Amino acid sequence: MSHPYESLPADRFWRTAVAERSPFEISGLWTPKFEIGKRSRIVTAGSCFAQHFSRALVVRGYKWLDCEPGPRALTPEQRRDYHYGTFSFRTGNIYTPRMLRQWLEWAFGGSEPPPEVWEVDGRFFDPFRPAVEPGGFVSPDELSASRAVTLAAIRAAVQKANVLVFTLGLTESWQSRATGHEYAICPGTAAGRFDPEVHQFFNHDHRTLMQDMSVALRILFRANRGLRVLLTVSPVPLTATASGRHVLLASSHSKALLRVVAGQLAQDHAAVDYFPSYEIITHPAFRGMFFAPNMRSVTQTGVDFVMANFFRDQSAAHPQPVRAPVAARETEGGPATDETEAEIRCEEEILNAFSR
Amino acid sequence: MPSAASAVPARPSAPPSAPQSAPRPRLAIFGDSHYACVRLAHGRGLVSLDGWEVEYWGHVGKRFRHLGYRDGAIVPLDDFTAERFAKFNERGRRCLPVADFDAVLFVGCRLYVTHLLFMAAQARADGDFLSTGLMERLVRDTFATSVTWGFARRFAEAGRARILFSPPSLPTAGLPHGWEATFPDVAAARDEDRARLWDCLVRLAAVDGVTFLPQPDHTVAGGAMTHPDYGVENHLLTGDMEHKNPAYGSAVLIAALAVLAQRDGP
Repeated sequence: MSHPYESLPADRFWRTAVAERSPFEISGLWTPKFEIGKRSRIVTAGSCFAQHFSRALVVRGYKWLDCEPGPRALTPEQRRDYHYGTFSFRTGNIYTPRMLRQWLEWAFGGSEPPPEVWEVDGRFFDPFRPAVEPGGFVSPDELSASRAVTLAAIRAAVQKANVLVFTLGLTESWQSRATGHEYAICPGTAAGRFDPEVHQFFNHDHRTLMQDMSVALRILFRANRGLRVLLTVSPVPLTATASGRHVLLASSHSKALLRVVAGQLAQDHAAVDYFPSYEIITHPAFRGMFFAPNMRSVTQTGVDFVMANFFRDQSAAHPQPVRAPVAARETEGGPATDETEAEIRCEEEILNAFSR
Repeated sequence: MPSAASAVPARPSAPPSAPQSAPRPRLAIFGDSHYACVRLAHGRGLVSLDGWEVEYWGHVGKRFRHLGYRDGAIVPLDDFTAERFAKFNERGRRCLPVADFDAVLFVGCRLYVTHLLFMAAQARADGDFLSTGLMERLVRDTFATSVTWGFARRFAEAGRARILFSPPSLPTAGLPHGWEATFPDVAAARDEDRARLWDCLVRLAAVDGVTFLPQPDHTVAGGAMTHPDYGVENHLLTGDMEHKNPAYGSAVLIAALAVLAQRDGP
């Protein structure tokens, strides 16, 4: 061998792997580190895009764990509106590594949630999941009791799962100046009242992202030594930025950081893998064809293509008996299976209401 | 535009029994099969309704599908249904115009709330959390999908009569209730679950101008069932966990009269 490139396979060369292929023929983007099979117990959390995973898994008969299914006999609309079945527990979207870390620290006893609540017209909203209870709670005590159930669900999910799929969504966040706690969304948008003396903008950098993810992974692996973590990065650009830069640049910056962090964690940890849904949707090789005309929302075709890659690459690395997808069904404890983008619960979308 | 009452004319009816000089307030008791216990309680004199001029208007539940609302009245949608309802009314009424009454008591009337209490009980057993907000949503959805609740709300909107609603009672204890598969742990229900649901129903009913009558506490057993003492005769033999006896009917009437006595009473 005269040099290392001579014997490389075709997928290591741009011409043969990308340039000479239709986007739909680009394959082998992912070599899974570990098997995610029909018997794997999978939990999902993260930003809006993570919801596609749970839906696709359920449709194909995988064991997606819903550890907070909510009261029995709710209608699909009631479940959806109260964020049951959206993720494996009722946290709403977890956009940043800091938020994941917070939830895990609260669930596993590292710290207590602060007593802060957001009051609107006599009802109380959880600053860390303001969207899960559309009309708010009747009292701070009720809010705390409900959150305790969610924390128990997080514990159960982590302890029972074989695989956690976590989708990193944002670097930009809003925090309490006093405690440093990170909110789910900017106070004053979905609920609460913004006060610059109390709330501050924080845009995570590589250091804080790595720090938060490292702590989160440590908690996860301490709670469940056999757990595997599959990271993805949401391909959905920011709805709005408070960074002072153009939203396109801010998006690029955020996603690049998240992508680097996900890649580095996958390199550093045998039990962590990265699935490239971000590249499949956003890379120029795919010509932006999976974006809706607003160049933000991902079309159902894009979601299907991502998930087809997921299952194909899993199957290539860990062959299993092939089974045709089962028809989507609304099962108690299962996620909502209406596959329209509009049904995806994305609290960040509320920021659109503030655009001029 | 002709009124519903004139569109479906009443048969000739008996003159009011009250003296012309002191007309008694008029009470309509509208119901499905669940109102039989009320009628029996009244007929047997378990409760005195002497201060009221009472009319019953009702039929078994299947015919309720053939009822509509027009011009301030509940109206049958076809002649057969009108005949059926008229048959069981003292005046042979073929429709129920709210303007003819000072109060209307809906009894049963297919407003099913038992499952809401079962949900609360099961949530407790499952370690789930049923928030007040979600309970309110469940109640609002229950009201919104009930045709008869729509009648009650529109009667209340008409503004003149007092509207009361007593829903079907909880299933009689000791018999299968049909929800076992979905709610295997209804025995987990506590008095506080029931109180919370009743409070929610009363509050949201009031928003619609309707007085919701919770099932009287003394008729409840085990948190979420009706005490067997109030079951319909031979309920264990017939397996009828739905219908209740005149003692239960009198409890409903007493509750209704207590509310009516607070305002507009005789």
